[in-house]
Amino acid sequence: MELKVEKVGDVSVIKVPGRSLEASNVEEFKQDILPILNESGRVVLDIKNLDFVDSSGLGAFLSCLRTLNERGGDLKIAGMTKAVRALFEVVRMHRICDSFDTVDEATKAFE
Amino acid sequence: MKRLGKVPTAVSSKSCRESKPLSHAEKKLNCNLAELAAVRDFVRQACGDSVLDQKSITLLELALTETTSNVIRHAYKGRTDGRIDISADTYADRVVIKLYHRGLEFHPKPQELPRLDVGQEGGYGLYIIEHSVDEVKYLREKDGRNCIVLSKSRGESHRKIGSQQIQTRSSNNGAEG
Repeated sequence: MELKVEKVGDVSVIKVPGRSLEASNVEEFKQDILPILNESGRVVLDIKNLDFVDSSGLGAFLSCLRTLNERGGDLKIAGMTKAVRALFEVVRMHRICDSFDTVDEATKAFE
Repeated sequence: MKRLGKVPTAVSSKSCRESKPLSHAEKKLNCNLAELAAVRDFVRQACGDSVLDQKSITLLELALTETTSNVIRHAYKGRTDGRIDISADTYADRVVIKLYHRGLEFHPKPQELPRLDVGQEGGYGLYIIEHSVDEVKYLREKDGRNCIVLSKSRGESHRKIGSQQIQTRSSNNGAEG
């Protein structure tokens, strides 16, 4: 999975490609993002391309968050579509991870 | 996907829980996680002219995706020769989706809100299913076929989850898993 990374100051903005993050492709995502997370402390996941995320995708986000937290870093999510927002509302993801409409808002939230 | 066509939508308030759907659609799936996108397409097409708003359709997609994924991974334990059949019936006030399979029987208990902060990466699927639709039923037909029923109504309604053994129906959709 090709993950494009852009640096905004000391924040790594990772653009998640594809239309969905689900059971069929989540292992590839986790494998490909881990090296990036190991090099980063502050990460914004740009998920505006994702029309759908299931519980496996949710688990992948939680894995990213845990990996960063263990090293004193943090994760923010930007660009949730309505479908992804619906999932996040069901599990109350906002309790542990901040999300924003835009990458700009998410990166500024680290300041 | 086989569609049986639509019945005129003028129904009396007394018959809102009528047994005859306004429309019916079916789809057969291979036992492969690559089918999950097709599952969502099926829901969107089946619900397109239904009473459900977009958010409700999204939640129904989510619930059926999770259900299908669970059946593939756990009920069939990753077998690729298993068959899954899904149907969607739209009524005046709700959409009912049924997933049939011949994998392992499963009757989950009601799930509590998961704690996302405890390092657990999985196991959220059942909670998501339960809280995305208004009713979930895990049924077992006498001939051993399992049927998971997801029901999503227009507007607010109580969530229900249940399981039971039912008589084999005299008519079926020809599915064998």
